[in-house]
Amino acid sequence: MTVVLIALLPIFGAVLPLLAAPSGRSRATAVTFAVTAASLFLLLAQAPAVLGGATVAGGSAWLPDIGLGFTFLIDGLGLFFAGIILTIGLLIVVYAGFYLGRDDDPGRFFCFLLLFQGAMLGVVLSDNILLLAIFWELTSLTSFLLIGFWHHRPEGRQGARMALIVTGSGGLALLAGMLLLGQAAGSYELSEILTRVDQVRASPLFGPILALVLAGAFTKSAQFPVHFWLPHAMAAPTPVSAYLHSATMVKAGLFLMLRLWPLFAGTEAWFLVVSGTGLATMVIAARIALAKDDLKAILAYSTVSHLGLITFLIGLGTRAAVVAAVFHIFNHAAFKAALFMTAGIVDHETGTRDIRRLGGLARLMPVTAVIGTVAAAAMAGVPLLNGFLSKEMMLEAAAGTSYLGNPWIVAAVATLAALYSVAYALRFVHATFFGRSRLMPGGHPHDPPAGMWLPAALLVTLSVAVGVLPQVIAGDLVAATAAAVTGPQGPAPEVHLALWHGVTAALSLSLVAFAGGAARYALSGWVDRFWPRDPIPDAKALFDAALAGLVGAARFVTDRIHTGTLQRALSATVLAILAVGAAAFAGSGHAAGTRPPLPPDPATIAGVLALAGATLAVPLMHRDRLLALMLTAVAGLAVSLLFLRFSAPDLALTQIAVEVVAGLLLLLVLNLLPKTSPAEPSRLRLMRDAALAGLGGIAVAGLAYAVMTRDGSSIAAFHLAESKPLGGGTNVVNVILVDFRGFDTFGEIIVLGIAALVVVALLDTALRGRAARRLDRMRRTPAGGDRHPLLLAMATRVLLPLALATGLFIFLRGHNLPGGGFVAGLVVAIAILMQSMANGYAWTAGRMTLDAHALIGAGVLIAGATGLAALAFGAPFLTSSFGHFHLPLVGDIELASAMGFDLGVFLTVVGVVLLALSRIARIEARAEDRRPNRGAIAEPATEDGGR
Amino acid sequence: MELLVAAAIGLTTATGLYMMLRGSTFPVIVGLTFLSYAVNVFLFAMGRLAANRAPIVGTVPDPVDPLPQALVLTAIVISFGMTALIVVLALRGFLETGSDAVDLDRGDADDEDDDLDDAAPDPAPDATTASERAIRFFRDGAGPDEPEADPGRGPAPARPVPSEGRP
Repeated sequence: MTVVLIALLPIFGAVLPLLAAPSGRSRATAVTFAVTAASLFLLLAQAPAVLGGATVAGGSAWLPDIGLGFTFLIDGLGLFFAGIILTIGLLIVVYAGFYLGRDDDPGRFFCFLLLFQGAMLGVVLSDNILLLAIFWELTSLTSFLLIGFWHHRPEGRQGARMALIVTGSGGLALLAGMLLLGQAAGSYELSEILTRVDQVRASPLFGPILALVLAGAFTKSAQFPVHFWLPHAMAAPTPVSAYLHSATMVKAGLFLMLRLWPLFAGTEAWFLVVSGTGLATMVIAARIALAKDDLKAILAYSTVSHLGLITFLIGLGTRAAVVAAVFHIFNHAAFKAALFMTAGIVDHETGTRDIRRLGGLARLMPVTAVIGTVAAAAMAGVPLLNGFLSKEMMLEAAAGTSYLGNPWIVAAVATLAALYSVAYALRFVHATFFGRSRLMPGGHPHDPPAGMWLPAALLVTLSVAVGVLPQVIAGDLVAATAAAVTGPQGPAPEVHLALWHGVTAALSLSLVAFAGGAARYALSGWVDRFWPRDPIPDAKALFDAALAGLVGAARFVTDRIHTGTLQRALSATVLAILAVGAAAFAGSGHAAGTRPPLPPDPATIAGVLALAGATLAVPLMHRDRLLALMLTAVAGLAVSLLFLRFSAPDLALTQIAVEVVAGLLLLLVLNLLPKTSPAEPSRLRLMRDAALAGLGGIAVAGLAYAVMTRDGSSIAAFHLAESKPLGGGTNVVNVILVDFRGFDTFGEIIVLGIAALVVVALLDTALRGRAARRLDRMRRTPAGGDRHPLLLAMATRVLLPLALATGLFIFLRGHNLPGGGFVAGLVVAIAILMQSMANGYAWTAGRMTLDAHALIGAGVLIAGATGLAALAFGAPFLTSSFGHFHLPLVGDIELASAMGFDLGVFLTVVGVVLLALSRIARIEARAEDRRPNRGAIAEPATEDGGR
Repeated sequence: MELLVAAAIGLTTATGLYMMLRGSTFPVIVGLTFLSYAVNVFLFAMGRLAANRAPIVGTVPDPVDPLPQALVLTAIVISFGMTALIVVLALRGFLETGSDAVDLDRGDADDEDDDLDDAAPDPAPDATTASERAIRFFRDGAGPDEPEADPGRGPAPARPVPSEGRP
């Protein structure tokens, strides 16, 4: 369980900085520090066992059916990366506490930072590869938030967006790769997959898996040619750059390649692609770094170059190279984070990061200068510093590698990259801390408070210590990590970290690099004249152009399809459906089925004739809208009679109740709309539409007839058999609604509630602006005499209790006989609506204390609570139970928990109907309350109807 | 009997489609209602027709398939919600524009009462379409502080706040 906590602690702890931020930045920093420290403590508690070779696992099943498990494990590799994430995290938190400005919200910053940290820990500790992909995406999202932390700056937003698009699409590729990998290996657990190397390699999916996984890894770790996002991500605050873009997130791609190393390493494709890409990235980025003037841009490209270096080592596929890769990850995290902090300090103190405006800072900021110089020396690979050791190992490996049959090209390119790296490190130090002192925008720079330089100093001290005593300090950690990478098969990699290996090929190459690098920097003015500083086309411009092209294409298609005419879109849709149906129809038999038909009876024939008559009359007479509405109601009534005739009493009840409510609604709205439709402009169009509609009707009728005349299998037997034993009711339709398919119904009432709220939103705002002015202009004269006839008013008042009782009755019997929450809700709503119709909206609203909003909310909550109650008894959501209770006097009664659910449905339906119709009535009132003569009973309506 | 029901389904479908292809809102809503009838009866008919065999356990020996009925019951109620929403949308559209045409190219013909706008000048129709705004967003972020000068269209006109128009 501890393993799970390590990753989840920062994620859940992310809320603490938000809570602490109002009481000050230092408080927010402190809680963030505490959360990180707690997670680190939990990790270190596992460290002895893991370093001893054990693997600590934890977690639980999540969705086992699709192979998704919430499973974590710590082995040497996980410990190594999690250790880096949390240790550097602690230092970054301290640094950021001092770095953030007065306008920066520390709560938001630290919240994002912790979320990122948790996601990152999830990536390196996941056992399940799908879980890994989820955390991988989370790191992309949180880094988006962090890069764009200063969202008022355009470059921050653009950099964040670019990083999200590049790493996010890589994440999608990774997810696809993980799914394929799981299929090929037959498991989604890393611990399982890594034992099935042969099976995966033999799979035909091996190629696609490799390509997709590498797409994910390369985008995340900024390998050429998708390296360009990383420099633009430097628009982030410096702590973010130091943390995400040098120490942790960009290492996620390396982690992934190391994690899956046993699967891929040693194959020809892996070597060629990974090593080749790494090598190219290493030298190209180093060359660009030399040409940059912004301190952080230099560091960004330098980071890309070093990531390339590590990628190159991973691609070699030898155990010695893995050791070198792991060691360099460790070293790079230390010195590069220190360098970023240095750059942040310089920026903070001088107000600029432009190397052309800096100079001579060593005298003004001696501490910072020492830290920056030592860290840069480590980056260049100066002896006695950690960077030297791992670079030697890299050159050693490069010297012994031939690429595509060429024995010297790898060594040459690696040396060239090392040469550039010496040159840009020299430039970084020399142009910033030495040379002529200049006037800087920030006034008089000086060393920052200790809290700001101490984290960098610690990292630099570590660099020196490792550089001098590598085996003592880092030996065990590197050995355990490398052993975890290469896996149990084969011998464990030998780790022997030492300062002096004698005069080797690597040492000679190193010397060449130093000499060449120094010369290159010294002669840079001369070289620049012959070689333009930006030899490679600007990747951002290409990216922007590609993006603009995509958006343009999307707009072109959208504009073609979405022409703004509903008629054309609908015609196209109907045509398309008809075409698909015709194709299917043409390719199969057309005979009617053999199921014996029901004999027709006069009543049904009469009903169908009524339906047909109304239906046929509508297209002919629809321009009189009131008439169309009446004909619609006739059709609806006939439909409900059909339901009744064919053994569906519940449907008949619901249909007829809905018919009444919908009819009222349409009448009320029609009152405000034009009463006739304009004549159609073109006869041709009418003929065309009629042909389309006729074809559609024939197709649907034929389809329905074909199905009805055939027998089919159904799952009805289960519902009929289990309705009483499992659901406790004999009305199977109702039991299906509230029990077997209760989740559907639950969703449905939520949809209804939302629809009602949208109606409110649409109509409440209609009481302002143009809509309101138009309403005020509507002076309509009543068509009849009295708006609220006394007889109707009195009759509805008498009927109200009766109608309410009917509703209650229908509700109560619904579980066993036709009825239920839907119908009951509609009946009760109609009863209340009748009051409004007869007595006026204001009169009724004044007497009704029910709040329709609250009814909807209560309905959904009651239904949800009934479902949740099942969880308390260990059953799945919405499992119903029922029992018999004996009440004195009343006798034996049966109560089902589904009744509670049905009550929720009932309340929601009542609320929705009342809310929708009351809002329409309010609009009507707005149009009508200017008329002097009101009905006999109605009281003066105020603007919002007397509420 | 099956033939009769199939014919009824076909007729309601045809009327529904025809009405939905009309040019103003109210006929489209009527068409939608008819199409709902057709779809509901169609779904219901998928359980096959049977008389006097309502799915109440213990009342008849061989009840009809209850599942299509349950599905249709939900569909009826959802159609009601949809009708309510769309009819209100139509009403609001009419109140805003004075036209109940469903097409962009034929609608927006405001009637002659220009004095609707007496209280406030009519907000100029926003020249930026959704796709243009999307492009702007993707190109340079949607920052309020960053008005993008677009050579083709000029900056988006600021929308005057419509005043409370209660004469």
